[in-house]
Amino acid sequence: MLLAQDTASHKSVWAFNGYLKDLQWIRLNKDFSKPVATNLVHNRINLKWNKAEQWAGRLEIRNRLYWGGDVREQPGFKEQLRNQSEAVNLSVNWLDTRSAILHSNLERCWIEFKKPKWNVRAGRQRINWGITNTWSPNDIFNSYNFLDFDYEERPGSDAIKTQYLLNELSHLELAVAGTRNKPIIAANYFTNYRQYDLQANSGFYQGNFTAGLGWAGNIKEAGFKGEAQFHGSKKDGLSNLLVVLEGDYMFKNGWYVSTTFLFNDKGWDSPLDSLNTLVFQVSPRNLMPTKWNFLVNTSKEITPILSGSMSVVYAPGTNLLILFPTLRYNVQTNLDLDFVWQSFFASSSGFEALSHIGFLRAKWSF
Amino acid sequence: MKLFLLLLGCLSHLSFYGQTAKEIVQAADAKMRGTTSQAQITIQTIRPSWSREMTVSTWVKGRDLAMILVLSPVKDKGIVFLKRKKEVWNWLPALEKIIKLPPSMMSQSWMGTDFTNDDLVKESSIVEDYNHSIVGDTVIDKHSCYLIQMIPKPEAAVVWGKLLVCIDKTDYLELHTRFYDEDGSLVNAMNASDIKLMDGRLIPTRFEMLPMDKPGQKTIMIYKVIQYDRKIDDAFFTTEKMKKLTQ
Repeated sequence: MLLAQDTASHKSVWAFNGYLKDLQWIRLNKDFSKPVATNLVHNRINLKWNKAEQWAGRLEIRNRLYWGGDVREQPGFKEQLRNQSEAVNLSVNWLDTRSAILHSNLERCWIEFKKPKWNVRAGRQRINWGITNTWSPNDIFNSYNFLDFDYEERPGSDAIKTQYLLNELSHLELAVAGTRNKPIIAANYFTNYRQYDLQANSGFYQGNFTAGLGWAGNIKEAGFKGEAQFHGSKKDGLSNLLVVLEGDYMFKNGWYVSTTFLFNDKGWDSPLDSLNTLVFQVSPRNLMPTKWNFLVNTSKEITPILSGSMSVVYAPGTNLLILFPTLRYNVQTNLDLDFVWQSFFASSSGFEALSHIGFLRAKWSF
Repeated sequence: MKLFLLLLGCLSHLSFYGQTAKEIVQAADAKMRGTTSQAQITIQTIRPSWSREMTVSTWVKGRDLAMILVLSPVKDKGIVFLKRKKEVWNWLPALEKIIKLPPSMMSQSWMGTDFTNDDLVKESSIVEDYNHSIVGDTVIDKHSCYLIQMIPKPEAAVVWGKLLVCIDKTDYLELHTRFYDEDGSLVNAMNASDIKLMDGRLIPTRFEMLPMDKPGQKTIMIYKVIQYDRKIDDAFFTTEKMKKLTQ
């Protein structure tokens, strides 16, 4: 390991890791009434394979057993278990009853061939072109929902990706991914110039032209990042533009503050007719249901084993407000306990709460 | 997270101060750092009611380039931190993402462990920022040492009011340091011990940082393996190589 950079082993090397989580949550009505409890036992198994310097592979499986009120009562609960970004259905429902479901999905399954200057990876993989933290418009292959905190690895795509290194600091990537619609074909150029990470992408997203750019740098001691992505459309009025600006700073007393702004051209920006219109169905073209979105996140390590954070999202017009505090406690080296809360508010006839969810999660890593 | 950032700072600045008085310190600094180093380090965070341990692999070249790979605990295994001059990146293998971190994360003082040494993460040189003088001699664990006082220069932005450093006269080993605040109160003490021949160099391999106002609390850094002056290309300290470390 120590000399990993200059020793080449020709043996196959296998590695195995994963976790077992239990997530219990209670969903409450806007007036904190009618509690609905749901439980999730969540296991992930990751298998890693490397052979010599040239071959690598991954096999990662996610098993989830849900039971409780949300399985019965949330519309579309079972359909949402499959990732939108995946073309091929590699999931199985081992158990499917009115109030319980056991679902397994092959999350990653790829093989890679590497040369010093280039590599090719084929299979289910995550293509991470996003460089901002909460909303990533440049993440055109496999966007994720920032509220889904229990999905740390985020979804993947069924794709072939090739990377060519232009020099030490620059590369070009070309990727083709199947979707349940038309494919996504795009190229991304990445470089580092004057202490800025810079990237630009272009291609076709399900038959429509798309192009974007992103950067990550700093202004004095603060981080400064951004992404913009344009999605064209053959139909008039359906093209979309997403822009994200992000700044973060760590204060001397240990408080970390991050602010993010997201503009989603096609999002809602006036009070809603019905609060049911507010759907958090994330896709690369639509990272939030609302048009103007502001997020402030602040976090602090209280001790090395206890940390807290608070996120507040606000979207004017709809007056969508999300309060998202978390508390994380490391009970033992490999055992974490998290408390998470999400409260949603918005305006239709008047500003009101939509729902509240309290989560308690235990995670054992192995 | 903060520990690794601090460590990034420490490793590339593990220059422990400055002979005459300045030359003595420069000698100690050069000895501990080499032109490059590759190490495996265990870090123990000790508190009255709990303790945690982690192991990391590190690669360091000069003051500007450093890489840290987490080997344990399992939940953090494979996380990498890369520092290139003022830029810092964090590789999260679970989601295969690089996150660029704000420079302020490097320069903040650290709450978690007791290596709260702001000087270590500064871009400025400890040698240049202080006036050094030999104020006496002392003996630590049978090692005869110079006792060197370091006072920050008036224009230097240094959190400490004074440092007292003990450097072994024969082998230029920094064995003990006391950190004083601007009011002259003792804030932290660092002890270096377990002197061993590592890759042909005699160095202390165990560093203990003790905050004076927090009994029962300390951070221990133990060098399990260290190799000096092996060639590491600058191209190793790039985001591309960072991703490949865990593949």
